[in-house]
Amino acid sequence: VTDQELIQRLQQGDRQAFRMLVSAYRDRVIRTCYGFVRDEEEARDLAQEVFTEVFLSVKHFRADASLSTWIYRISVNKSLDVIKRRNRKKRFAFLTGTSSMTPAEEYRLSETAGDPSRSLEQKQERDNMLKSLAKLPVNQRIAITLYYTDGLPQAEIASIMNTSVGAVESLLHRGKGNLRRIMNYEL
Amino acid sequence: MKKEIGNIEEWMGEIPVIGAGEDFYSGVEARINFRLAERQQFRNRVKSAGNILLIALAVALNTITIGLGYRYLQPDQEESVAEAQVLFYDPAQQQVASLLNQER
Repeated sequence: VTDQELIQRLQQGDRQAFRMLVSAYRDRVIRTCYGFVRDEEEARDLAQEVFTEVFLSVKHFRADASLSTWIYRISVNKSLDVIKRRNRKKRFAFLTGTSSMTPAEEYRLSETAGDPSRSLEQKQERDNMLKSLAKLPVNQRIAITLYYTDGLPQAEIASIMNTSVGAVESLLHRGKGNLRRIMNYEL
Repeated sequence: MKKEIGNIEEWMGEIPVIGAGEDFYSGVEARINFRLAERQQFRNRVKSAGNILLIALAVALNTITIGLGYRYLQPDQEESVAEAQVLFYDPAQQQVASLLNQER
């Protein structure tokens, strides 16, 4: 089934086509969401929200971009919403004098994610980098996450972010520079 | 010592295998059904609010019409009363007629 056919069937409310779409894009969407929120449960939850949004708004999809680009766009927007909510919670926690991290973040940082043989220092470096990533301007963060986590080509990232390939290249370059600065500043 | 981010590819690409079984799709379906029900509920609310607004508007217009009729009609203007009886909406017509009778 081509994307065009799939879109047509989805626009007619065909649930079978929707099931096909979910199974085709599920893992990619979960991965993208995870790249932003770094929490498995939240990523799965977000991915379900993404597909819900896809089903409800596919009628208005005008095929200006490819189906996958559109789905990535929804995934990025939903993930950023979660991050914004998280930051609000953090600010509130800071004001009320409790931890500046959400419980999920504290758990994530304390767990021994990835390779168990990895040294503590490496884990600290990784955590430090992920924390620094959260401090980057939104556009740089989106570009870096889609590029390194999803391995998307710059052209596709440009399409998702509605910008040019040159701009993406520059976002990646500046993003890496800023990341390096933040990590060194916080040492 | 300067920190480098040479491992960015490795760290960023380090995604655990996140399992999502059959319950993933049923979760999506449940969310869709919930959102559709919510939308329907919202539409119903808007519809009934619209109806209430229309009734309120009709009552207000009726009241204004009665008020104007009472304010400008003179007791000796028999013709106007006859006209008013034609022009005014039923309940108002009753009220205007009785008010004019009282004045007379």
